[in-house]
Amino acid sequence: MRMKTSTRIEMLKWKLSLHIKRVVNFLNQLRMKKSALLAFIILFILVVISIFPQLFSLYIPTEVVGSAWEPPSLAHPLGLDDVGRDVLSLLIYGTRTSMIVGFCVAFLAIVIGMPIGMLSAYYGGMVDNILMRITEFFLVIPSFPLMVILAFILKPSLQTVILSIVVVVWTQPVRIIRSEVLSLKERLYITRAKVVGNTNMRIISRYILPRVLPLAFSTMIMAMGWAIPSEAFLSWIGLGDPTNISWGTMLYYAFTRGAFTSNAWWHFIPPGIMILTVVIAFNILGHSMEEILNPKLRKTI
Amino acid sequence: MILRVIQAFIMILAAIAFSFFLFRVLPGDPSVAISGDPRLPTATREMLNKMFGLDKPLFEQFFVFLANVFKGNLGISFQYKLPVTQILLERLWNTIILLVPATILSILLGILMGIIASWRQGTLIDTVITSLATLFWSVPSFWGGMIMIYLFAVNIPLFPTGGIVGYTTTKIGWGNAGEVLYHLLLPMITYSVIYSGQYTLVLRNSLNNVLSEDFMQLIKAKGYTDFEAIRKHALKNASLPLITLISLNFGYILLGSITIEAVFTWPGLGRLLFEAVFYNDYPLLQGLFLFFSTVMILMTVTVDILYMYIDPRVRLK
Repeated sequence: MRMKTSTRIEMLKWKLSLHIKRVVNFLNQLRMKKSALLAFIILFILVVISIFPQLFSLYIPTEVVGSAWEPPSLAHPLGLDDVGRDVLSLLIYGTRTSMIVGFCVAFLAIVIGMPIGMLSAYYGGMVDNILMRITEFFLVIPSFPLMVILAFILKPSLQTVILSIVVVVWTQPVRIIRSEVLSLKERLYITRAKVVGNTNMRIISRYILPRVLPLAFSTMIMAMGWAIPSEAFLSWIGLGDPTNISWGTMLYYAFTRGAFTSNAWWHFIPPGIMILTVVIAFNILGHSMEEILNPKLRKTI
Repeated sequence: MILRVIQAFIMILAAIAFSFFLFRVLPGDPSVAISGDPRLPTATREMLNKMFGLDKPLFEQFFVFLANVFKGNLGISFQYKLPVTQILLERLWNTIILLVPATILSILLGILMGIIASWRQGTLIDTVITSLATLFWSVPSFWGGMIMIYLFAVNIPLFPTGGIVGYTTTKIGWGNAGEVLYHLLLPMITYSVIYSGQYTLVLRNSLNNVLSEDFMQLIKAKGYTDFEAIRKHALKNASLPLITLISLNFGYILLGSITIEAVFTWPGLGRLLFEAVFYNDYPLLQGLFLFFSTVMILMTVTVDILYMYIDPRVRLK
């Protein structure tokens, strides 16, 4: 049966307004939690910086603008590094690397982890058994050494860094999504959909996926909080992309070229504070989103 | 229980297979890695490949490798020209010297902080402890280590910047235990402070939950002070989540030492991982990976089995 075009447009309008209402509602709830709002603002600023670093930095980060370890001054608020590059500009461009790695890792981890978690929980039995054994294997394999070895064997580049981190974090979304779907599939409306004769694929895509997406989103936010320090760690041991500017690489040079003995605190304190801030902000935002999107959780806490 | 042990055994086999194929399938010619020169003539390359049995089919190579692993033979390190197993066992002691006291200290610190925060619930002390614990939990441990070195070894030269003994000492033994202890303190304190964060938060949370239950009202009505009530009654009830966390962390304790050892150049297994990367030492890297995997798998199984005794509810499932 075909609907009249005007009715369809009305329907679409209504649906759209519903979505907008939901987003506004979500933002309102986010505003209620002061810490979450602060985290959101900080991350928003950092994302903007990572997209347009040239607007914020005074110098080209790879350019030598003075002598080694020049202390902070008006021209260089955070001093210069071991070869005389502006630390603040390096910090600003490093934001981009962190955000790219964080986003790519989190996105890939969800793209891999969410289907595995959903299928595993929905079908159960043999499928669940096989998928969960594989996941368990990757959970129990020591993450640091595996990450280091992968980054070591493959050609040093940003892609390698991303891949190495994905290999160790994709199991987290699997666990989170799986336990959610396990409880979802027991709901009455899923049984009803089955009785009415929907195929499994249709039930998963129409009735389970939309319910899981918010959780997947908050997991992704938290995964960014895991990925960014991992990138810094890999770069810090010298396995990052040598041509890339990142907070980890800055710490690597500070550590290996003796910023300690030169008392150049401005070289190694700011990158660490940036990493710390981002990790805490992503964690707070992720947790608050989980609470807002999942009212069940709010009651128990 | 037997099922868990069999599962662990299969996991270890899988880890061996994984590490074998990881180092074979990924790009890079092993003969080039041995000589360390990519311009190797073809004849020499073929000879090297034959010598190490690399010309045989992959599966035959795998079974030779498997047999060797079970004999405890992990090959010879390129860098140290010593059997990998021997190096691993030597370094394991240094890691244990650091990890055992550091882990105990981190748990004790976490318990102490958790109790104080819960005892002074809602006050400034509580806020300070909770924020500090969150900070410790989130701080990247390698950076935390750098800051500690900068503060307490460079700025205020209380401790050495790294190593297990001074540069002039070559042998580590009971004779220079004092020197080792002196080098141990800073990495140990750093490790315990960083890892105490999550214990603090978990204990505070579960203590607060227990304190809000009805039976605690009765205990207070009996005339106990807040602190006594926590010590005598609440702590026992609140300890289960903490025990869960500690046992879950058991496998990861070894991983935590990797970065700390790297920052403080403590010559344990974690430091060895970086040396292996630095010197392109494939056999050593593979040996380390297998060792870490096996320890993780065994720890996980042991904890699972132990947990059945601690928490009877798990046994019923």
